[in-house]
Amino acid sequence: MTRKITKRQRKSEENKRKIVDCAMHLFAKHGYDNVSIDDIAKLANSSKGSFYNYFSSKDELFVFYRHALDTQYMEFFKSLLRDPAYRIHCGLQKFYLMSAFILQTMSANGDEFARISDMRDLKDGPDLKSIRDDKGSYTLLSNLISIGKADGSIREDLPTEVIINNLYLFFNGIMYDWEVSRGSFNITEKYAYMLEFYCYSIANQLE
Amino acid sequence: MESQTGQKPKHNVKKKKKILRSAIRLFKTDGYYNVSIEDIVKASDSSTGSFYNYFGSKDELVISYRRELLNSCHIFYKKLQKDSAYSDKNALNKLQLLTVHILELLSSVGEEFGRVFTIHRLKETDAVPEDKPYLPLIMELVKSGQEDKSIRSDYSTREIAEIVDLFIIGCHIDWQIKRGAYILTESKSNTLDILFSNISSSAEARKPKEMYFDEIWADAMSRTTKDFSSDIKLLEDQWLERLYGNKPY
Repeated sequence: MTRKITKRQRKSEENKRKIVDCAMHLFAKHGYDNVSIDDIAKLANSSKGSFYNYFSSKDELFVFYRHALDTQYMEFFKSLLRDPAYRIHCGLQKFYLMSAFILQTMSANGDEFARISDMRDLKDGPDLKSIRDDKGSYTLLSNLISIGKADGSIREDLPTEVIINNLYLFFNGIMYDWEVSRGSFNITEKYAYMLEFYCYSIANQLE
Repeated sequence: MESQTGQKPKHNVKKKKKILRSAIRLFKTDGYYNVSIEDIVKASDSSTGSFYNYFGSKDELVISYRRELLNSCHIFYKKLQKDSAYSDKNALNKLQLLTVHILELLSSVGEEFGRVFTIHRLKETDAVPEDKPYLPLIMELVKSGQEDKSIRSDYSTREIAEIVDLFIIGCHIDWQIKRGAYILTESKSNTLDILFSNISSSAEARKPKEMYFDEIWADAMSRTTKDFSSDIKLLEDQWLERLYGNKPY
């Protein structure tokens, strides 16, 4: 597995990354509508032309970023499986950690970002399936549930699909509540008990 | 502006309701975004002036209708408490019935109506007025459920009420995102059964092994993750420096 990445490619990837980070930073600070492509290019120490090299619009950048969250989920997932620090945790505990991490990551970019994201999914027109596809986190969670079912920490009578979909329903509600309050509280603190409630409800009964 | 100072016509409530009903009917048949205020005025046999007298905009009409709609769950609640048909139900059963009733109300006006409302709440920064007239009723039922021992008491009344509330919102939003692709109350009935079996007192009895979730979370957070904000701060400083030179700004 030695895929060679040329120096130029790496440079280009870095540049793209920088543009995205700067854009998100500006969105969070000034609001999505008040940030121009010029502003983003300026902060990233780059040019408008180079922006259009990567993205055709602000919206496309936004979608790219949402997909980029999947990478962060994946990183955390990997460390849950590999990092010796997590070896002692059972499947259910890992499931809890992953869920909390997803919730925290979704909120880490500010309520503005989350609101734009939700409004995009709800706006006039058909369901934008390709973007709202939760595949990234879905696969990871279902893996952890399998581990939990195998080690006896998660109930076997609930189908994996049901466990994940119900979790997403809570996520919808939690995110909405937080977005409407304009991010006025820390999600993982305020709703830790809810996640706990949920995880205990899928836990195997103690003999 | 004189008309605002007091003497509104007597049957303005009726008139307002008429406008509301016609608007909702039009939204359902033609779609919210295709209906103009003029259309609503025509359909309700009123005038543009009186439309604006009651509602500032189409959005406001939606908000107002939603409030009226959800307020009607008080009627159902009274029935739950007084009607002999429900006298053999415990508070947990009643809470589930109320939850289904709320979901029915929300779905009765269509998914687009829901989306318009949600988008408005996410977009506008105006103070959020009472969006959840059902919440006190849920609280009441949870409280009496904890008293009649049908609902678990290892979580506070407020916590359980919040769980039910956020669950309702979550279902509603999922339904909106999927553009009403399924029947809200039917497809979620299995999900509801699971939720309610988990807030029942029997769920408290079969308490599983302690998992120390908060501790392992705090521990996990102490060892993650890269923080990009410092990098961006640096870039921002460089940018300001380019703009203003080395002068302090």
